Amino acid sequence: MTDNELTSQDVAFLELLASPPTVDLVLDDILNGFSVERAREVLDSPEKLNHLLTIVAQVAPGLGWKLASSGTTEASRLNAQLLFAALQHRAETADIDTPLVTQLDELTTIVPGRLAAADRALLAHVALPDGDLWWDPLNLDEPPIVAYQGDAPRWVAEVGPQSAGQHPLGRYALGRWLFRWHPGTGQHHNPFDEPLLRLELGVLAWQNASHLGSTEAATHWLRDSGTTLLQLVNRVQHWTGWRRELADDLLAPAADAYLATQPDSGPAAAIRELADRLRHADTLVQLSGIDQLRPADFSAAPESAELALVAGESSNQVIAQGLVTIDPRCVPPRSIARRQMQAMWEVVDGPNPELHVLVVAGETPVEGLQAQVVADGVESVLELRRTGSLYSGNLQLEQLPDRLDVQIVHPEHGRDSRSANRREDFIADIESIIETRQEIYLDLTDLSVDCTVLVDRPFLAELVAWDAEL
Amino acid sequence: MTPDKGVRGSFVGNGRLSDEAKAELQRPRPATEKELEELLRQLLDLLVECVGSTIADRSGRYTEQLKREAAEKTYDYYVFRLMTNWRADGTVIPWLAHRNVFFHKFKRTIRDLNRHNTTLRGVRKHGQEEPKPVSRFIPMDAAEAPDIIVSRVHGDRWRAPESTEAQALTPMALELIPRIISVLGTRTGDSGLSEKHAQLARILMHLELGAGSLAEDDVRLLWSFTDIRVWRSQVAQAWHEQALADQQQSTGNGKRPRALTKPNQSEVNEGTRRVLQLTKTCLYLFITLAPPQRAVARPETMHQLLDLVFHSNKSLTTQQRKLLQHAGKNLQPGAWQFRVHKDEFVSSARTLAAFRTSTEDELLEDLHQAEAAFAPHVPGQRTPPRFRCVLECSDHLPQPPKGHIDD
Repeated sequence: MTDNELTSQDVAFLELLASPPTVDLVLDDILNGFSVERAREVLDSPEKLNHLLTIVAQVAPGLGWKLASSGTTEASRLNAQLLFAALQHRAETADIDTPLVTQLDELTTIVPGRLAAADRALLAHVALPDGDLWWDPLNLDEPPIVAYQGDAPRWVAEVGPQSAGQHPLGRYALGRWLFRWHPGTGQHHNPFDEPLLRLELGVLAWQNASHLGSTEAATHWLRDSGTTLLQLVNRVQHWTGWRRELADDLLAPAADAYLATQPDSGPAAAIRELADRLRHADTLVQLSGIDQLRPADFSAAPESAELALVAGESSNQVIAQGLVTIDPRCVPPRSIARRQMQAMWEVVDGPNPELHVLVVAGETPVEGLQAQVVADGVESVLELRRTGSLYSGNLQLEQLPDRLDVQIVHPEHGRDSRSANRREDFIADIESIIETRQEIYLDLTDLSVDCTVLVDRPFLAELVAWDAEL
Repeated sequence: MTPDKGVRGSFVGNGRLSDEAKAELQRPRPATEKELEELLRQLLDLLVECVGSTIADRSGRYTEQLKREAAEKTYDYYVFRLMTNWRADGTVIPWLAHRNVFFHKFKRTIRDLNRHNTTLRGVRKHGQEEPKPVSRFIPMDAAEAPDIIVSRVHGDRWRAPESTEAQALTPMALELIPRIISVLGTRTGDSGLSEKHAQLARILMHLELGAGSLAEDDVRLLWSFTDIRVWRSQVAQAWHEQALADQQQSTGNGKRPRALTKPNQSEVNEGTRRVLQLTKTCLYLFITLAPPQRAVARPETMHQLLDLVFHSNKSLTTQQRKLLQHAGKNLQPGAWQFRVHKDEFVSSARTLAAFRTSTEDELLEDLHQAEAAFAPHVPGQRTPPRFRCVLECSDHLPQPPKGHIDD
């Protein structure tokens, strides 16, 4: 073959081009909308309409066409007529994104395509007696991953693609997600209000008790929530607008749920009175005798572990030091600082070399953590005790190690073998979800949404985390 | 007192949906086509409202383009949900066309797009760091990836496409070609056409396809034809005469003219080949590797994708880009399934130094990977990506539902 010839493929392509369909091209109209004349032309000709549908099954209608279809003019009426026909046709010929349905023994798992690659740890999970659900925490209106034994429980259809997608269980799962993964506010004068989240979780568990199979979860979350509830009544007195509505929506069910699950507790009498008032009064008055307490400030943490190390005197020479990212999966919620999710370690020279490990405590500090140390292949566990806002511990080493690996864990959570990159991604993913919720509810102005009717409306604990004045 | 019934306090604000009203909106109900259209109309109004909004984020306003994109995605998502329900059992859920729901999703979408535009789609911004997706499980086009759980569990129906794909693809290609040619005409380098080649492309399109717009020079050229059935030799003839005329003009100062003996037919043929090959490559990128129902038709997107395949970037390796280019040239015209002609591709790819000794299987596997790396960049793509891959594997091709997997 020389350059002088066209290949047989080229000729075939030319032949294809030389036999175009006899109808007009419609792509411009599909993207930009039809003029009145063009629309009539197509509507009047079955052949042209058919061609339009053929093409529109392959290419999405453009925004121009959609905008041209809105309004009351003759042109928009005709455009809408064609557009709706096109949308119907696209739905008819859609290649439906099938979820992955797997069945292993008696266990059926349905994974919607979108969540196929999801890290389940990052999803909002709730376990029911007859199955499990995992929602994308940012898309509670979309179908979750479900798993169940044997026949499909009724809730499988309730959360499926043909539902409105606002299942109350999704909100409970989201609340649990926040409880587990919310990294804290990072503001020492306004720490994450865990008791408030517990209260709301208790109400949700109570409201979903029939799905959860018992009120056990509600009892668990609401234990010690009596005071939180009474304090909340006073705390919301100066709240206004939708925030107040959200709070008010919580009070009555919270009182009921609390009384049903902890009838004999100390604050029960006061809450009974509150419930009574909520039922009969139109406005809430401040409760007397209740201190308007908030979670205690946690002691101001140093900016970074590095500073803390510098502050501590160490006359001996530091041979090596490093930072290791802590996997949030391996430690209790908010036990480490949001801004410093890294452990600092250093090896100090001396007659006996010593390893120092420091971790900055978070807003819900625990007594201690563990550092799992592998020095030259030898494993050892170093207990980190908390003093104020720092966990720390020292380990005598036999010799200066060539290779050293440090991982921070909590005995109840155990070790994770993910790489440092995966840990950082995981932390970034959590931050992204936390930030997104704040942005869509607070930062994006215009187009106000009455979020009080949405299943993923903010939790009160989020509201007070976003705004320390509340 | 029943645990499942939320007890509302007595502070329901004016105009706020009561629990009962909300439950009513969320209940699926049988609907006529008219009622469905009413909801579609509501969605259109919400779309218009979002496009015209002055939504702002911390750093100021969002761009018009971003607003339009986010509004459209939101609209497409709810249209799909409404339609799917309606087609499955003739019901609608009015909640899916409720302004609160729509605006909420729109805000989320615009926020995601804003982040992704500065990250994942940053391929056009030179010198930028390789973007990191915000979250591995929230795909770029989340709003367009409705998940339909179809299985015997729900008794939903899965419908095979009514027309065979190949039938629909040819007219689709013919619709796209005029746009492709005009996009190529504005580009330079490997993925562009020179002025002469662009003229050739316009003539070709006009004569063979009866489409596209001609420049003044093109019309003059066409007028000079004596027989359009042999238009390529006519072009060669016309170009030859033009060159002679140019030469005569510039020889007034006594320079000796270079020999221009006869029309250069191979120049025209070579140009035609180039036009055809680039066009096929575009069809490969814009139809074959696009998600079902989402062929690429917007010129801006065409430019982006061509940049991705013809300019070096961090999303695709040089070798992957070369393989995609060779695959595109070898799109099979015969059966018109818009698939790569495997044999032709293999022999063409072996001309690349890096693949001289590759086996056929290795080459196809490498191409398959290159396709998988490219496909997520096409707007509207889902997770996992769906496209007509060279291996026709079940991961990428649209497939009927699996009832279950017994193992």
